[in-house]
Amino acid sequence: MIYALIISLIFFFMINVPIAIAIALSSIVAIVIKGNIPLLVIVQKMFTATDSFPLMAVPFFILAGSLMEFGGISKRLVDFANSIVGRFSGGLALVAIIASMFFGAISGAAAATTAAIGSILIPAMVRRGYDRNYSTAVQATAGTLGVMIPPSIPMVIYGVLTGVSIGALFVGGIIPGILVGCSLMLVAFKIAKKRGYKGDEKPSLKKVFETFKEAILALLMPIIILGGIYGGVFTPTEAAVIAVVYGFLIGFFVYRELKLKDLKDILTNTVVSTAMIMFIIATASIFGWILASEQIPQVIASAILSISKNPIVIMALINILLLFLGTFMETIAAIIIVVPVLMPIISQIGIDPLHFGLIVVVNLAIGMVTPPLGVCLFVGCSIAGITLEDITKAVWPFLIAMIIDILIITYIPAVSTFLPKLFGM
Amino acid sequence: MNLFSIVLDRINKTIEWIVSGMLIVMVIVVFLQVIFRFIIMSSLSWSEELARYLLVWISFLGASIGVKRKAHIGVEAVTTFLPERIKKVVALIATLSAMVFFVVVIIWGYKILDVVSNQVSPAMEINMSIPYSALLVSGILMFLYSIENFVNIIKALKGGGIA
Repeated sequence: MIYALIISLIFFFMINVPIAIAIALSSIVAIVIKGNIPLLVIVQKMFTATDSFPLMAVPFFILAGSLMEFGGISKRLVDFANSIVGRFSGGLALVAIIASMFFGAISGAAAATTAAIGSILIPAMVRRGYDRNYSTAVQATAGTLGVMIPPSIPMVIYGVLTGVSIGALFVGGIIPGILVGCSLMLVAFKIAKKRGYKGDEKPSLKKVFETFKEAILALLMPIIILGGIYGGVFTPTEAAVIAVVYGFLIGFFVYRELKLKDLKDILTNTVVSTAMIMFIIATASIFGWILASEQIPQVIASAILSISKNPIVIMALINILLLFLGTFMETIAAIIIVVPVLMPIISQIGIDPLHFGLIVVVNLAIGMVTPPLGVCLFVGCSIAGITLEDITKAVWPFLIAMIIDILIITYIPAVSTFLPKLFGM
Repeated sequence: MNLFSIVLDRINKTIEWIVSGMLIVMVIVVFLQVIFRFIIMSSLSWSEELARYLLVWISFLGASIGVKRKAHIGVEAVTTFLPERIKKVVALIATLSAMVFFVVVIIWGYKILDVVSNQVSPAMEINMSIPYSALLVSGILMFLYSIENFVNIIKALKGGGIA
């Protein structure tokens, strides 16, 4: 039965059946072969998986990000970032990374971050004479910060799956996100300096203050979200709905760039993006149920633990597996399939599930910019009008930096757990 | 465009309006829940349940829009390297496979209504077949949209054109 499950899953993936449906089909094949389980379980599991209050944070964070983007937030974040780091060599590249970090603190998705900031900054970098491939590589890798810096949709999913506090994951993501952001800036700066990409003139203090004042309402948002969750005032879902209302009010009444006629598209696109994720969650719950009832995670755990019991070796293997999955598979699907399988190993070698959550999210985020497949690569390329081969040449230095980061995050648990512990989460 | 496609487009447009409305209601309901707890200091009993059932409906109706827009993500690692014609044949098999799943959702999505129709939800006390019928409705929609996709691929195969 288990072979039928795996082989049919690979087959349906190969012929490009959508992930959610491929997972469902392979589960159906397994259930039919097993013979004694009614197919009613399929619709039953799909319903209970989507009938969830914590998962409501997914549409709310997508909607909040989208409202803020249409409401003119991304432009203001870019202006503010420009007034801080625009003066240095490769200034605009640094702006792209800082602005993506700011945007990541509002949005929970990487592709959205790449698109929102990239559509402003990739053309701006090219106009300033930066190499097009370099500009795109900077923005695509910076976009992954969208899922590392809280809020983060993959963290919500991980929390729902494992029972780890979503609030603690959010707080835990702050230092890893900043670490990755800084290392990307370092690489961008070194390359820019070598190639002689000059920065802007140093802006006056007045200018810095003005752009800060324009962006302050956007910058307050993460404080409301994280502060509310940390203070125990809101659940993550409630914080997300506050973000939606806040984003709407600012875009509509303060910045006045949000138009009623955009609203229908914003809403429909939010629903479709949500449904893509929820549909995978729905069908993966059948798949996961089969795996669990056949005790597959335990079998895999003992197989891996028979190779080595050394946590350092095992974590290295798991990192390689996650990077590979992240490259070839959609992030949410990868989390749902692989996390339940790996959990028994993690608990046996004594890794904190909170720490592991951040390892998973950062690894899969790197997968979004690892050629030949990666959602941020695709978004970046389509904005810049370049091919996958072009960006592949330029993205390597950034990837190497990110892989060093993931090693740091893996082997120094405090990077992820220090802040949550400090706040007693 | 033939009548079948026109009707499907109409249905899909209507569904898009419905899910947008549902999303707005979901935002308002959860927001009210927060407001009630903090400002009026009393909890609503029904808000969480209503929001959850809306999420179920949004997820499955949204998935049908995804099928219509061909927005569901697949693994293109292998099929990208196939020649055009074979790619279309593979797409045909993939669409047929998906349709098998939709039929399963339709049949058992209908059967489960029998099981749950004598239950009522804990808070709002509505018949449980109301939230559960999201699966049946979405199954039917996705099946219909797949027929359209299937016919389009066949046409492209015959004409040698681009789907």
